[in-house]
Amino acid sequence: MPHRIIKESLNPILDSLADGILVTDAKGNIILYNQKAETMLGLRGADALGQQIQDHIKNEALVRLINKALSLNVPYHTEDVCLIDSGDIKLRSHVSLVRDGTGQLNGSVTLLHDVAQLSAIDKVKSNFLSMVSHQLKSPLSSTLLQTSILLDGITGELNDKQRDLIQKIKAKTKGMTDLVNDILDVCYIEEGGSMTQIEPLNLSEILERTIDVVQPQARDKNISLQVAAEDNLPLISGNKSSIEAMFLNLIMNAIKYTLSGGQVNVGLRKDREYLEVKVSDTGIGIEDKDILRIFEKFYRERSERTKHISGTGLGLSIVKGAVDAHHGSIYVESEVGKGTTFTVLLPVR
Amino acid sequence: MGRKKILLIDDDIDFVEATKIILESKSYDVAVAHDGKEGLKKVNTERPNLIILDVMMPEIDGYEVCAKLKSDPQYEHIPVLLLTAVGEAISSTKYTLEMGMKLEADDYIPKPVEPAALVERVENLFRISTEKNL
Repeated sequence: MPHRIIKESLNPILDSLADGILVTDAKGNIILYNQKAETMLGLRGADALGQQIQDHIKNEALVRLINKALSLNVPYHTEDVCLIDSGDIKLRSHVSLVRDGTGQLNGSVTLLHDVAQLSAIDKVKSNFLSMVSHQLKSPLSSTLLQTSILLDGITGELNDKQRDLIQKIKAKTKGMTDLVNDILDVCYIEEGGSMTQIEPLNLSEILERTIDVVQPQARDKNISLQVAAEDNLPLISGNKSSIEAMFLNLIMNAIKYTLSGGQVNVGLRKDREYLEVKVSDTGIGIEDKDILRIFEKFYRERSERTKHISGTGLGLSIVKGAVDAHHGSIYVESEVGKGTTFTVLLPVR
Repeated sequence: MGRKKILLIDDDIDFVEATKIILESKSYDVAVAHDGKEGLKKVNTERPNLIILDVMMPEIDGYEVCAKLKSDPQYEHIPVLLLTAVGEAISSTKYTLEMGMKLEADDYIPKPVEPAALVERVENLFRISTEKNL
């Protein structure tokens, strides 16, 4: 059937679709498209018919996708193929292959779906998770306070059984609080992973504030927390929440896994074209068998020596997420019973 | 000299109740307000010696209340302890850094807060404030 006739009879139906449809033959020549596809891809009227997709579709990624599907004879699906001219339009494209009765490849049909709407929904979901986590923080915080009041005896002396139960409530509540904080951090990192909010960052300042936040915990455990930061360090282009979470988790980990009376040292300096962050502790150290896994989400050493240490196992995956998002690298050296050192290198440019 | 009075401004009722118990057990008088607006009114009627202020509140948040207090000559001398959530503690220090001398009496503490830590910060702020007035 001539191309013109196909187009005319299907016209009204295809043109009523909210999605774009683009049909090619097995060689990548455009044989059919609807009005929506025309708008989305900037095709000019009937000129594109019979032409190679690369000659008429300005979006390289989409062209590559269709060609790949045709040459490998495999359907392809991708998210967020951006249109070059109209930067705001994001298209989710699905390339299906058309075969005849004998299985011979006849061509491709690409479905183009505008995901601007979807991105908005994704944002709402992620905002929702963030919002719920924030909402959970207050009641958890109050509950912790209430258990502390009970344990301190302010409202009267407790018997052993009562004390034991309330201590358990407190521990569980603290666990939930940590999890909520970690979920929030993961949310921040996921957002920071796409690096949507980038600004020049002063790492010294961020480190200083992090130390203020963790100092009380270090004091409680009688751990000496020392910081050595070089002056006049260059600013780094990055995501603030991401870097804050990185510092917080590295230093909190050091404190958590170091016994009372121990030491945590934090260093910040320039090393060639990188900024080097070093966090070392005199803590319990990491066994060889665990070192390869510590950056995995939820991975924690579960043994006699760590069972009393609270934590969700997300800390280092958050750190790694932040380091990766900033194109940096992270190293760890450790000796069981002696201590651990984490070194992060972040490129300055 | 008399008992010192603390004004607690926070929309979390449970937190306020629990904190009141803790502070009263340490012989402080405690007045409470559940939002920024009420808080600002009570600063005037209660004349507290110290204010504990939650950052996350509806309508007027803690930062705004703190800014209003610190720019009012009647109240700027009252030490303010900001209650923040971890992560926000970091951005809240813009007050301490930017506003210099006036805010040396100020502090912040992240929630969840241990009673002992809260009491320590409060006593610390009172001590600093007394030393300044000598």
